[in-house]
Amino acid sequence: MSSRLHFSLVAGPIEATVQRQCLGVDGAGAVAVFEGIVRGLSRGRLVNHLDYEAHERLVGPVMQAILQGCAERRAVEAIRVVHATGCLRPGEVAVWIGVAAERRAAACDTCREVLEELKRRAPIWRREVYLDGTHEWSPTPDPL
Amino acid sequence: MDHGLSHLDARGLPCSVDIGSKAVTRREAVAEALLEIGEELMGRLVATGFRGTKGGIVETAIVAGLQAAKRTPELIPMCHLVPLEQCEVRIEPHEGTSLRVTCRAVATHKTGVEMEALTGASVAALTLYDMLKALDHGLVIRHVRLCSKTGGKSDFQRRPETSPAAVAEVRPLKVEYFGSLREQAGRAAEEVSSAAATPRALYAELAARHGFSLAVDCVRSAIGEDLVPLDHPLDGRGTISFLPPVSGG
Repeated sequence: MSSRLHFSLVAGPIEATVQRQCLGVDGAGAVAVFEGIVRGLSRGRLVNHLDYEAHERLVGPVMQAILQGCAERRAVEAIRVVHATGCLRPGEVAVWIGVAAERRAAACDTCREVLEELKRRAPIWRREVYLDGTHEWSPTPDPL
Repeated sequence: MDHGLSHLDARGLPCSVDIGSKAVTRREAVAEALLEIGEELMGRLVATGFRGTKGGIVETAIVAGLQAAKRTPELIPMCHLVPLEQCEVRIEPHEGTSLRVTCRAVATHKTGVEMEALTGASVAALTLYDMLKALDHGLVIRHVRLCSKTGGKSDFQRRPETSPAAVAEVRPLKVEYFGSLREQAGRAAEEVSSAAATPRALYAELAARHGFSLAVDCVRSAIGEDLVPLDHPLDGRGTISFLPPVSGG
């Protein structure tokens, strides 16, 4: 069975409802969705916005390898991952992951695995800009 | 059996060479080893007067090289016991990115002292590595090789053009920066002139120029669309990217 795998970058915040419609759930008995939302308070400081940047040539191949690995380990119908670049305000969606599968365990476990692999490997960087005008490049790894 | 190897007998088994009938002459050999440490570490060593947490780095390595050269027959099975009349180990910076160890051994004896010079240079380089490994486990001993030997049946002199340093040429390289490196460089991309053989060596040069705060082993490198190890050879083609630790999601 070949799974439908998709990754793309979008400029600015992600419309979660649009992504959910794009996932496609033919034959699926379960859909797991993760939305990563910009926090207004980070490490005790008030966040004005985040700046995301990606290595655009490299991120596609890296994400394809992650998605193919996940699809080989569990029976999934489709995995769709979208990551934002540029300026994002608190409350906006920075990353969206949807997994459709026949069974709930495959959907939930794959969703979690894709997210953790993305955070560990995808060449994407986040700069936190605080209300006081200072900024910091986010440390890695992020707390869970 | 004529295999041309002096340490194998007619049956192909190990044996030491009978030097009883050889002439006693003054034998001299010089060997070298090169430890690549990169510009950043070189800068730190210069700033601290080449002193590490274990004491003087250079002095310790020199003593280690002298001791080792004198004990060569204990390490290398077919080496004869040759009383060295003189042994000298020198360590000096080389091209701003390496430490060059030279070991010169002298004996008036029936057999050559190139193994003594090579052993002294090797162990001095290993000792430098031991003294510096807390700062960077990725240091590379680039080569251990004989430079010259005189006084024996056949003399040897390495020609200078065979040195890898001599063939390294400066060429333009396209470089891209991301995240905090882009910010510290003040640019997303640039073309630089460099003779760097690996992304690691190139990063050391760029870190010195732009003041990068990330140690080289925190950074990953890519050429074109492929992640490559920091010690991957650079052939001058493709854009070289330096990636700080990622923080997507």
